[in-house]
Amino acid sequence: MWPQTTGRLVRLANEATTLMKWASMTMTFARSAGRRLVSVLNTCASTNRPATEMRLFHPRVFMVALLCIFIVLPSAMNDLATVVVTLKQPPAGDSSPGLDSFLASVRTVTSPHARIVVASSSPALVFYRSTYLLYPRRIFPATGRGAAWPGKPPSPHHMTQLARARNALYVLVWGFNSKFVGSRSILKRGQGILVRV
Amino acid sequence: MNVALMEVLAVGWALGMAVFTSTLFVFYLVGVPFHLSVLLALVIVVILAGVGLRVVMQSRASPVTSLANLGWVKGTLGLLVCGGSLLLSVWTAERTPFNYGWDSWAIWALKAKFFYEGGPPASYFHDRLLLFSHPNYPLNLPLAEAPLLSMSGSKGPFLAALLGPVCLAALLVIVFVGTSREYGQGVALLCTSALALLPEFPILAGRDYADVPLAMYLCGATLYLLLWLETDQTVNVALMGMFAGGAAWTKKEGLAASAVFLVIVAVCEVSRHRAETRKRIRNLSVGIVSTLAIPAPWIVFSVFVHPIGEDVLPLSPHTALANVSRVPTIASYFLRQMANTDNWSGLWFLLGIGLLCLGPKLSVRSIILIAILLAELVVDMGAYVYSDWHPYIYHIQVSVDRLFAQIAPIGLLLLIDVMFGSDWDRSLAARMAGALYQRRRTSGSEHLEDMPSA
Repeated sequence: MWPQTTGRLVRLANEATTLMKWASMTMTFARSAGRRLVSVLNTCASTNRPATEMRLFHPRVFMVALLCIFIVLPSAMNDLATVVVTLKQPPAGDSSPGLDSFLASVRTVTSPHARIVVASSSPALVFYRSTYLLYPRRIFPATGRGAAWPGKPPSPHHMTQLARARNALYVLVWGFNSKFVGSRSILKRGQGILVRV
Repeated sequence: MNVALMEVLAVGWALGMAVFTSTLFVFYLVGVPFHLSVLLALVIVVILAGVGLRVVMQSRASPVTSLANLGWVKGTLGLLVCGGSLLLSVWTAERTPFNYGWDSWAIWALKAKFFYEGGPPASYFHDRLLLFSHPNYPLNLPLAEAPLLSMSGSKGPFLAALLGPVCLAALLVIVFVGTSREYGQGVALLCTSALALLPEFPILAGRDYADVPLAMYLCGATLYLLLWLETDQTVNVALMGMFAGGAAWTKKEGLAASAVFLVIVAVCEVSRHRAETRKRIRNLSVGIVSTLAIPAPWIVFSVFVHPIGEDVLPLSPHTALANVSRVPTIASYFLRQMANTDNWSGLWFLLGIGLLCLGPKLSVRSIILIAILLAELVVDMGAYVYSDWHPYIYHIQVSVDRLFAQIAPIGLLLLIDVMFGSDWDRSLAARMAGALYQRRRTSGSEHLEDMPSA
């Protein structure tokens, strides 16, 4: 134990020394930069000049206008292209109304402290919507850490094993057919099944 | 409508939102029920806004300028451009799927739901299953969305999705007010229109990314820092601090950015010749207190609770030294992003040309803006040096455009200042403008009859 503690202390001391060096370098830089700014900043306080309205065709404004047009024109064309593309596409479906109404039913038949394993052919959507709509129930993705990414639907056996390992009473399946042997289906609606394992 | 009223509305929205959500978070920690805490926080914000407004208005000696000075042609054009950009962002918000973006709408909505349904349990901040929702991110946006999302029906999500566009509108107004103070309303309108039409902004605002609100806070802090340097009024350093605090309460990068602002204030204050030490101490302490006031509850909470997060390696000098070989790759991605005209149009090109032409003749404002811009770039680079993604290049690819959205308004302010704040008349750009003007004048354009000589 002592060698470990000593090693940790030595590492901490090394890190502290490096930090001190960095801090000292930063301070030196700030001081020299500060000194260089002294004269200009002192004049700064006295340059509280009123904003004069320049005429639109003053050469300076004319130049800025040209530059702004250079900034704006490609952007405007790009924005226009985005608008046209979006107009052509139908609105992206964030969640099918069927899934939301199925999850609303799941909410009514499960207790607020229930633990549920979810599996779907579109795992990111179903995991997210279940976590959102079934809160405060605990939701476990059947596809592990990669819940945010699409993957292959897991087998009923795998889901049952996972539910037992997670101490979950339910398995929720959306969007693909699964036949659970020896489990009781307590809700079936649209493409969704809720099974008690 | 006058400029002062626009400033009150935009600053009130930005700082009011941050104070409101920070107060809500304190009430959550104390255990006050959500709906009661919303009411109490609203009352506190209204009282603070009233006091703040009084203090700010007393400090403004200049007469209130009307927007009528702008003229109806320029005014209408500006309104059309900015209004069009805002409409595009509202439209994007309306069409953005509810679960879109794991770093934006989806995460904020999830956290907002946790809060309005009684607040997340303490275990949430250490729950590895919900690690995807970034428990260690600051909570400004989720808490701002929570009262709206708690409304029944579809109007709640729609109103919550409008937060991004409203922050974009506030950003545009802050830029307009800040630049019109220095260069007049005509130039300010051009600057605001150029910002409104940068392609990334309406899209990011519509998709509810935190980068647009963060850009709003950073830009506000920059403009009030510059105003403080010119006027030496303590109220402006307080406003700068509150904006920097708002940035720290909105996104993790904001915390480093607020530290940058504090360092700049300290350097400027220490290097300024001043007879009274009392005022120096007052300015510094006001800057520090106002910067810490808004994010203080979250910082204290993070220090004691240590919410878990992913994406970032332990912040130690050893990690930085181990990953220092990433810097050239990161720099090359940054340069490629600057050259991306789909996202930024000609902004960074023009800024580069402007700095090359006028490098030796820059004004103090430009030097300070460059310091802020470089510091922000270093902070953003640091985020990738400490990235825990494998490979880290993928991390850069998916998020570098959003980091540039945070600093683009400061880049635009620098571009405008390079044009107006420098020793302009002797520069190459001025000669080019003069030549162009002379050419048009000799061609007999009647609109240019009353122009002054170049």
